Amino acid sequence: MVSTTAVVTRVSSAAADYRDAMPVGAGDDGALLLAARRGEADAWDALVERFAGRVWAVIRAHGMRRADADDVFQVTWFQLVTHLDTIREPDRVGAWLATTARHECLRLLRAAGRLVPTAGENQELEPAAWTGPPVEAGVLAAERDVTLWEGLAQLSAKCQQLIRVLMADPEPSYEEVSVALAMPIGSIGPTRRRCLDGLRHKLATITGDETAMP
Amino acid sequence: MNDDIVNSDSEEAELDQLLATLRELAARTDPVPISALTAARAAFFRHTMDAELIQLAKLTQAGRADLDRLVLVRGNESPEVLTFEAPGLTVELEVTTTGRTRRLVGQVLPPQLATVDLLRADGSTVTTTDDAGCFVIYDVAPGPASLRCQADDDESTLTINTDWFVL
Repeated sequence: MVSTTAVVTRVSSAAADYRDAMPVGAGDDGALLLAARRGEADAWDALVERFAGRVWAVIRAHGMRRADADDVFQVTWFQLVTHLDTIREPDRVGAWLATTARHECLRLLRAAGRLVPTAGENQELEPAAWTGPPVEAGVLAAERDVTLWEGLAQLSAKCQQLIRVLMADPEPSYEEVSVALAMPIGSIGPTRRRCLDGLRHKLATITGDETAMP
Repeated sequence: MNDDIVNSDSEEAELDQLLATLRELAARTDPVPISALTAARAAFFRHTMDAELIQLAKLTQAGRADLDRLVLVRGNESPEVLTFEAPGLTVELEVTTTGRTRRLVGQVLPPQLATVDLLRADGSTVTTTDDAGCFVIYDVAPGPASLRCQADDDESTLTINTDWFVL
């Protein structure tokens, strides 16, 4: 992914550290948010356009079924409107949206009894399972699509979550992934590689061809 | 992990290609629903409405990582309690789910007479508290919601909006 709009005018120091990992035009995020704050509807539409896929991916990665995912998606944007005038780091609006979506997902999962405490000292909470492919959509026509979702479903819950978040278009920055899944930024690159490599092997097994790539 | 580091560039490119394939798969088979996108764009009209001097009551983090509470709610039999806090005013809300509808039992603290609007994506419902600050709203449909509370006290014109949440 080659950045064609590398004019970064407003980047906080935290964001600057991860600028290389940020998607195309990320430097405009803060400017868009400030324009929306001033009441420019076009800027708001541009924010929705830019981040909708990433917000949706975070919500789906948390195992939200379609109806719940719709609700969390709406709440996330209602929240952004409500907080538009008070967000302190406009450039990090992507991370803000990811955090907001994650919190609402966790709230719903907890309320529905679908959160389980993991073992270990920190007692971190994580979703019991990802729901996997969007079978309810009934759109898995091609055999290749079925194979890909099947391969994903065979991965660990952590890999499934990470890959689903990374499947967003445009790809989220590592900072956005970090807050979306409560993962340390430094662990994302190696985990990404390990999970994708694991998927590649699963797919080879499913298709019965060690050299085949979907 | 060390094996990964010595991966060749071609393997790295192969994994990038796999992710690109997956991204295309997601865009085609699990896209953001058009209705959700429309709702997100339309949300902007709330900005001007909310721009006046209204305090925001934030959903407190308390309870999110409370394991005792987590055990209690497993099986979805207990109501969920949400607490929204603004300077000078707190709203507690107990949400009980029965099938497709929810019952909301709330209290404005400190206790006072207040008007409570239940804001939804497509409208609102008005109710009032008793002098203990309590209110009940029956037969609420699932979906995004927020509360707007206005104290009925003549001397104060305090209005608060809670964070949005999914019912």
